[in-house]
Order: sequence, then structure tokens, then C-alpha cells
Amino acid sequence: MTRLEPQPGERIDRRSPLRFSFDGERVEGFEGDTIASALFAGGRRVFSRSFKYHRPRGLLCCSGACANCLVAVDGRPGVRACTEPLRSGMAVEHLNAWPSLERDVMRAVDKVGGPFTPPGFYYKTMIRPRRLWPLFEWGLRRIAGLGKLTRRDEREWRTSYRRRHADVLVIGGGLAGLSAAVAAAELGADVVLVDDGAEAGGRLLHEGSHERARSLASAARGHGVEILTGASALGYYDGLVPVRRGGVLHQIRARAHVAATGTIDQPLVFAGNDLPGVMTSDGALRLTALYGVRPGSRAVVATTGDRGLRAALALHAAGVPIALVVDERSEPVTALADSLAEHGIEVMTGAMVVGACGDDAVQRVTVARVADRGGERVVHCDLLVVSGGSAPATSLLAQAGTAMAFEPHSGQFLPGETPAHVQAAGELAGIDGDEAIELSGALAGARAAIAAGAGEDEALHSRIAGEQTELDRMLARPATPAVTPTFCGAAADGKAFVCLCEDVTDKDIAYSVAEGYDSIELSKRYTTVTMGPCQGRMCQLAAIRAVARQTGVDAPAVGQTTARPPWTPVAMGVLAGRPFEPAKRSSIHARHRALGANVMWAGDWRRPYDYGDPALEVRAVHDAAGIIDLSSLGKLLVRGPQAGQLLDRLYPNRLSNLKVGRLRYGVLNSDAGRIMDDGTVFGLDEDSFYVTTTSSGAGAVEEWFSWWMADWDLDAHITDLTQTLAAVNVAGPRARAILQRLTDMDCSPDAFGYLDGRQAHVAGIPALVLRIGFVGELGYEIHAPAAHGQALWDAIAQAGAQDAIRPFGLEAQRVLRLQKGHVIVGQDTDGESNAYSASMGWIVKLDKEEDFVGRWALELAAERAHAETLVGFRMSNGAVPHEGAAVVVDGAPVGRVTSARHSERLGHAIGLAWVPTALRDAGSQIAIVDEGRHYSAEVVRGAFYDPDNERQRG
Amino acid sequence: MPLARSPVEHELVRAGASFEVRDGWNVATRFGAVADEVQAARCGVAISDRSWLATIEVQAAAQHIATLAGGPLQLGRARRDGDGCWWCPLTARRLLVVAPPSRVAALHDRLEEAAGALDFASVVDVSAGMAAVLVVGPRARDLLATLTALDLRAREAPVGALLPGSVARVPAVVLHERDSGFLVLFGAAQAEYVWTVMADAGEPLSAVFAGSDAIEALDA
Ligand code: FES
Ligand code: FES
Repeated sequence: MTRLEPQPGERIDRRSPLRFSFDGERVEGFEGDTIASALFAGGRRVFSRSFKYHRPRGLLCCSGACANCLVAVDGRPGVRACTEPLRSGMAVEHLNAWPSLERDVMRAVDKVGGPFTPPGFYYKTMIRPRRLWPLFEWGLRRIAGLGKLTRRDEREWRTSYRRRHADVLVIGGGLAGLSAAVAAAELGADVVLVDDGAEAGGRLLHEGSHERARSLASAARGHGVEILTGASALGYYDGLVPVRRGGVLHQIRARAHVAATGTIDQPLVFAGNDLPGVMTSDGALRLTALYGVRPGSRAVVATTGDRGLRAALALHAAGVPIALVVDERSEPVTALADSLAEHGIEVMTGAMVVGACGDDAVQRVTVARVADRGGERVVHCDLLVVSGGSAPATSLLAQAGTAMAFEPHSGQFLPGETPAHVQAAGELAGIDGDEAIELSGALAGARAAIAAGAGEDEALHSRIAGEQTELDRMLARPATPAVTPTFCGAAADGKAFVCLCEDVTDKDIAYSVAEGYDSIELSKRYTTVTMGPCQGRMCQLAAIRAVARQTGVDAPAVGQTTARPPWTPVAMGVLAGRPFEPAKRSSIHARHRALGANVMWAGDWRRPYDYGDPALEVRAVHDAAGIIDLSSLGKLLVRGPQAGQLLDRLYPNRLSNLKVGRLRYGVLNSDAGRIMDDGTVFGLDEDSFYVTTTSSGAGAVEEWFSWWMADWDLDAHITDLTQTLAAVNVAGPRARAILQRLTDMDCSPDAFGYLDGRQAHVAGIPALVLRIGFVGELGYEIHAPAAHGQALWDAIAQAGAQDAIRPFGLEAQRVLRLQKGHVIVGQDTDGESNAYSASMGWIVKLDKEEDFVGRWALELAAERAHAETLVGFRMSNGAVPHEGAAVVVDGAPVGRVTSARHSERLGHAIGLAWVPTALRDAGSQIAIVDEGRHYSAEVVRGAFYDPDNERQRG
Repeated sequence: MPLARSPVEHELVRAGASFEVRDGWNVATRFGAVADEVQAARCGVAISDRSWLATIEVQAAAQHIATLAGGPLQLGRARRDGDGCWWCPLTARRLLVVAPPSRVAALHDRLEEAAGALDFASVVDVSAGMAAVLVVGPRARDLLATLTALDLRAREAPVGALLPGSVARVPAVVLHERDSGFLVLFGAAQAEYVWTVMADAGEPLSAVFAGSDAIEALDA
């Protein structure tokens, strides 16, 4: 065990042990541990294998900022062990190694494969022979990627969205973030603070100020701040910040934002810099202070600034022996160096690490003078703490539109002017020293609250001005200039990694520059540097420096890569959230289910496809009676003194002269004369019309009507009754008798003729009954309030039982309508079809006095011959071509089948097809090619069944 | 006339609802102990089908809407009258009146009469086309936050706030009907879908179904 004595402020509860497994073996940790801290305490040093070379990797940052500790938890890959809280019973497994993490056969790539896998090798190799592509793909798919998903049914995972509006969103819960949250909340703002740590407090928690962190967090909570921990902000989308927390994607929309994302401790580049045992100073301190874990038994600390010196002191205090501190600065100017000396810790100044060696973990470190690489010394240790400076975590701020500028004194890219409503605070903004960081946070919070609309007054403004002056005064103090880490050059026997996630070495960057990819963006694309799971957190600065070295320009001229979301990796399932499948169902749907209907999607409706036997359903309609649910039909009530005029202008036929109680078919056209939708119009009274549309067209037609009505400024109102009214069609020779049993209305042919409509009570329900049908038999559409839809259906079914009435679904309806040659708009027509080409020219009344939508285009269409015509066809044999099959002439496709079915009643297969106009006449022979098979068919004009409409009008 | 039925009646039946006939509607009055439902609505979150509420759509010129509503209305705010009807302006020329079914006949007649006196106005009963679900309780916002991006914070949307938007990806209108009680109005054809989604979203919050008895007890 490598647990230390209890540390002040540690997060673990040593009285609550937890058991879990790693690669099947039982491990123990404590409540409050992360997976990584428990495994490390248990002696594990190798946590993963690297992406390309399969080199062993250990804990580096312990803060979720790298990719060294990715594991699978309970079958879910891509989990960072160093931030994932330990739970009892969790099954943790390694990724990317076979047969085991300790012995991975793919390590051979590291040992012997280097020369064959330079950067961009996949652009140059595995191109020929082409026939081996599937094999290459198979191989690459097996090798690439980090982890495998379990089978879909084994990874049921509840994910959802949570929308949160706020006045101020603070991103980052360190000293600056917490101060900002408190200051904003004190001014009355509704504040949310998100932090990716298990607890808010940031650095304070592991740098000895945990009490301060916890008191600030509790003050924030006391002011009503909602603190979301373990929550990663993924990006900035015009003020919307998605934040992942477990399986929930919080979509936070705030009026103002404070970015307090701090800095990221940077590693150093030297040969063997990726060995387990090399740890950033932050990482080592976290393990020590938060989890009471000894990060090593003998440590060397390599630093370019004070951060490393502070870490050395803290580790020493915690009981970690420090063998040597190497500081690249020739003369550390701080008192920290004196403290180290007082504790008997040797500090080698003007020196650096030139290499680390060991079998699968650090065993010794070679250090040398920076100036001349002389004075080499080998130090034995199992922990190498590195601190190569810090990089402000600017990604989110950059996404919010802030430009970064290189600041030579600190050697950092720092945010310039932020957009209105966005504030930067703390170390992110280049501010150093706790006092100044806290003040900068408070200022940012107050400004954000004001930007979000908190009341402002003179006193507040003068307070802010005073605090700003104070902050400026603090920042005016001379700070120690930063040292850019010196690159020692990779030793011949070791790889020096710039990017650990993607296994990109310094040599690889040199190679890419030599190949002409000499800017950071090009080198990035070629080598994939900064494109790994950490999104450049640990390598952007090193990559910039490497490109600068190779191109001879300085870092500011190299610039940064573009910051793109997501800033933190996120599972696709979390982005997708809960699956929604909005479906419309008629008020009779429960009855359809009870009747055993097979349900299908029809537009956004769920409708019965059949009730088990469509052929039987067709026969019932022909021979007795059938009933179909038509509730999905679009239904519009158009009322007003100018309602008739509106319809006259929208339809190509005349509707204002429609008599009350009569019904007329109508086709809606676009301005270009193309068919948009069809349906019927019924005259309710002098000023009111009841318009039906196709099921899928209801919404668009309502918009179309409203749009034109507003444009023409007509006195009419439109009410969409699609969901208000249920509708059923009773069809078949027995339909009249069945209806008559349910109503007092006289249903005789003389009293209620074809295309008549009546308002009547049916089964006691107020209804509109329309004598019309789509299926070619005597039929009635009954429209009634949806709340009574099922009662209406049941009453009809009961009244028709003696006539063997059957429910019929969409499949039967399609056969029946095809027999009549009725067109389904959208299936038999497309965006190019007009009434003339679709053989419906009869509906266009060009002699109508009023102008109407599409008139000009239809006049042209009437004058000119159209290339294609929609016709019916009868197959010469029994085959039923698929919808979409080609109509061919001399082997060339010239048209297509839009509908085809076998008609039991007619005894052959029939359909509708677009054919060259020269072939439109009845009796013309057409050739159809369907999935390689050739068929012949004969053109039929008019209805296939009951062409004189005697049954329908009967 | 047969009973009017909620578009989610079979879901209510499946959830064990008891029904009573009220003003021509088959209304789910309770799912178990009313006290438990009241408790959830007071301390957690409860979901209650209110599709039996009557909805009347009024269309008229902007200047006439106030006349028909008996006073000026402000977009984004609904007004409750002494009869328990909510007057909900959807646009400057379109108004939805949400009313207890017992009031609907008189209300409809009154509106028709008032409309008759104007140049042109239309009054249409769209009750059967609108489903309504009340999400009520201190955690009502938490439940709705999983389904809608509308800002329902008390400061932004006080009681009476009327917010058209999308709930569970269907067009809806949310009325802050009572303290921490949101009436979600949407198309009846989508009721089964919305109800199922709400029930699922409520699961992690231990939401319960509440019948009309519990809501009446809250009102009392
Ligand atoms: S060690 Fe876990 S992410 Fe770096
Ligand atoms: S180190 Fe992570 S992307 Fe380079």
C-alpha cells in the first residue's frame, strides 16, 4: 500500500472501504477515492497503453486533463480513472492492450515498427493493391480506437437533457470562479457554477487551502449559487454552454458568463517523458493531498518555475523523499529556493532532465546543465515530477470569440478583449497570486451580474472602480519572468513525446515540417498533434514550441490551433439525449391496437397498415362494408366574408360558387404550377368552408393559406381542426344501410347524393357526414369531435356487424384507390408534376375570372406539350413491379413506376407510372425494368375498376 | 351523447386510474390514495391529465380581441377570470380561452354573441383537439427542464405567464397556472406520446400521477 498518513483536507473516508475489480481482480479503495487513486494506492503504475506505439502509460495529471488513465467502467469505454469517483462493485477494465495491460503484443510497433509508421503513414501506405482495401480496413479497424463498445442491448444507458437558464454562468470552480459566483450572487443574480472536479475549489484543495475553498463554496451555496461538480463545459455556442455531468447534458443559457478555467500544468519534452512515474506537479500533489496516496518513494522534481519548487516542498512535507530538484532557471529568485535548502533538498539550477529510463516505469533520470548539456548526472528515483509552466485553458473563451495574444513575460497565450457578457478571471487571464486571483474573480462576477441585468448604481460602480484600481496595483508588482523549457533533443535510444495522446514525438513534428507542413495547423492535420482526447491541453504549447524550433520562427508567430468544441470528450449518447419520437395518433388508436392492427408510420402519424389480412379487407369493402380511420386528414375551417375569394385564389378551380352542403375536389398548386396537395372543399355556410388536405400536407397547407391570406389582406380566418376532429370512412355496398341505422338523417340516394354533405348526429354524436370516397365504392366520411372518435368507430362497427363490416388499413386502401386510378400526391407526383402532366388538367379552369396561384405557369403548361405523363398500366403477366422501377425505351430509362399492386378483383397487377407523353394513349405498350428483370405492360387511361363510377355514385 | 374521452384515457387506465363522469367527460379522479397524490404535488412533482378542459379559439382584429376578452391582454401573459377561465393571447389576433367544461356552453354563447356585434370574428370550440397536462409541485420545473428549453424560472415566468414553445419536441403552450404548476397544452393527437415521455421523465424524480380529486384538494 502506498497510502500516506491522513492528510489535512483529504477527500477520502478511511473508515469506508469500497471494493471493485480491475481486469477481474479485486481491489480495495475508500469512499471519496477515484478509480485511479485507489488503483495507484494498490500498487498499480501502468494504467493504459498508448494509442499508436502501445507504450505503457501511467498517471500524469490526475485531473482529467490527459488521456493516460482511460479505462472502461462496467463496459463503458473512455472513462478517465483519475476523475471517476469510485463506486462499490464497479468493474474496471483496461483498454487498447492484448492480451493484457502488462504484456501487449502491439508493443512491437514501438520496438520495431517506428520506421514504418512515420506521421501520415496512412496517407502513403496501404493504397495498393486496391483489392486488399477490405483487408486493410479490417486490420485498421481492429487496431485503431480506444476501447470497444459492448453490444447495444448491453449498454442501456439513461441519458437526458436538462435546460437551465441563469443570469450568470461561471465556468471553473477554483478561487477565481468561486469568488465570481459569490460576487454575482450577492448582487442578486441567479448563478450557476460548473466545475469538472469532484469538489469545487480547484488548486486550493490540493495546495493547502482546502478550508478556504470549502468556505467559499459554502458561501456561494448560501447565496443560492447552484454548483455543479463533476461537470464539464463542452463548448460555447452563442451563449449556450452544454455541460456534461454523468448521463445528463445540461444546456445552460446564461445572460453573462465568467470564464475561470485556470491553467493547465504542462509536461516537459525529453526522451522517455511518457514513462509511468513521470507526473505533473499538480498530479503528484493531487494524489498526495486529496487521496493520501504516496506518488513515489523517491522523487526528482524538474521545473521551469516556482510551481515545481512549491510542489517539491509540499511533497517533502507529506513525506515523499525528494532526491533532487532541477530548475532550468540559472538563478531562482524566490524564497522558495531558500526553503528547499532549509529542508536539506538539493536544488540544481540551470539544469534540466535530458532523459528518463526504466522498464515500463521510471527507474532513473539523467540531468544535465542547460547551457552546455554538460555535468550529466544519473539519479535513481521512481517519481519524476515535471512542471514545464502552465498554459491558460483558453479554449472556451476562444470559442466565445476572444482572440488570444502571446504575452512574452509569462510566455503564455492570454485572452485579449472578451466579448460583451463574457468575463475572464483568475489564472486564465494571466493573473497570479491568490489575492489578485480572488479579486479578479469578484470583479468579473460583479461585472457579469451587471451585464445580466442586476441593478447597478453609483455606489456599485465606484466600488468596482476601486477594486479594479486595487487589482491593477497588485498586478503592477514585478513577477518572475517565465522560462521557456529548453528542448534537450531526443536521445537516440528514446522517444521524446510532444503529444502523448497521439504518440507524436518531436521528431514527428520535424518530419512534418520537412515534408512541407510547416504551420501549426498543417502540422496538426498531418501528425494529429493536439487532436487526441485531451484536445491539446497537454501538448498545444509544446507543439507550438516544436514547430517554432523547426521553422525558426518564434512562438507568437506560430500561433495557436483553432479551439473547437467539444472541449472535453463526450459520449455520443449524452449529446443525443433521450430519444424522442413524436408521433401523432388518432383518438381511435387504442381501438386499432385492440383489433390487432399492424401499425406503420404515415408521415408523422401512426396508422394501421392492416388488421392481419389486407386482401380480406379489400374484399369486405367491395362486397359488404369496411371502415377506415381517416383522422390524420388535414382539416381546416376557413371562415369569413372573403373566405370564398381566398379559396378561389388558392385553387385552380372555382370554389366560391360552391353551394352550401356540396363538396368539390381541389388541387393546390405552387406559384410554379406544380402540384402541392389535394383534398376536398365543403360549403358549410355562405361564409364558411371545410377544407381537407392530405395527411402529410396539413401543416404546410395551413401555413400556405395563412401566408397568402396575410399577403392579400383578406377578411378570413383559418382554424386548424386536424386534431380536433376524428374522421372515419365507411365504404362498401352496405355503407348506406349501416349509416342509416345510426342517424335520423335520410340517407337515401335522392336525399343524400354523391358529393353532398350534411351536419347530423351519428350515434348521438354531432358530425359532418360527407358522401365521398377514395376507394371506389359507395362511401361516407364522418367527421366528429376527436373526444368521441372511438365511440363513433365502435358504434359503426356494432351497427355494421350484421353486414360483416371489417376495419381496413392503409394497404387495402392503396389497392382500392389504385383500382380507381386515384393519385396520391407526393407518391405518384413529385415537385415537377403539374395538373396537366398528371392527367388532371380537367381541374384547371383557365377561364376563371380570378387570378389564382400558379395560373401563369399553368397557362404555359397548357400550351406546351409535356415530356412525361402519368398513366395507368396493366402488367402483361402477374408480376408486381416495385415502386420506383424504371420505364425504359430502347434500354434507356424514360419514366418510373410510382404505384403498383396486384388487384384480386381485376385479376392482374396494375399501377401508375410516368411515361413519355408519346406513350400515354390507352393500349400503348411500355417496358418496365425492375431489379434487372424486364416486364411489359399496357397503358390504361381512366379507372381500372368501375370506370363509370356507378358503384361510388350508387 | 356518448362520453367524451381524454386522448390518453387508455394510458390512465393502464396506470390504474378510477374514473368519474364530469360534465360529459370521463375524468380520471384518482390513481390510488388522493392524499399521496396531494403530497407529491406539494413536496415533489405530480402529473395530471386535464384534457377535459375546454378550449375555445377566438380570432378577431387586434382591437376587438380586448373587447371579446373583457379587457386588454398582454402577449406572454394569461389572465384568469372569476369563473376560472384563462384568457390566453397567442397572437395579437388569436386568443385561446381555457375553461372548465361546466362553463363552456355559456362562455361559447357569450363569445358568439359578442363576436356577432363585431365586423367579423370567429369563435371555434377546439376542446377535442387540445390535450392538457398539469405538471405541479416543487420539482415541476426539474421535470419540464428535461423536455423544454422554455425559461420557467419564477422570476421570468410568474404565475400567469404564457409561453408558446416546444415541449418534448412538439408544439405546445405552457401556462404557469398556479404556484409551481404548469399547464402544458398541445395537440390531442400527440397526447399519448407526450404523456409517455412525461411519465418517463418523471421517473427519476419519483413523479406520481394525480387525478382531478388531488388537484381539487390543492385548489381547496
Ligand atoms: S491522469 Fe487521468 S486524465 Fe491525466
Ligand atoms: S497530448 Fe493530448 S492531444 Fe496531444
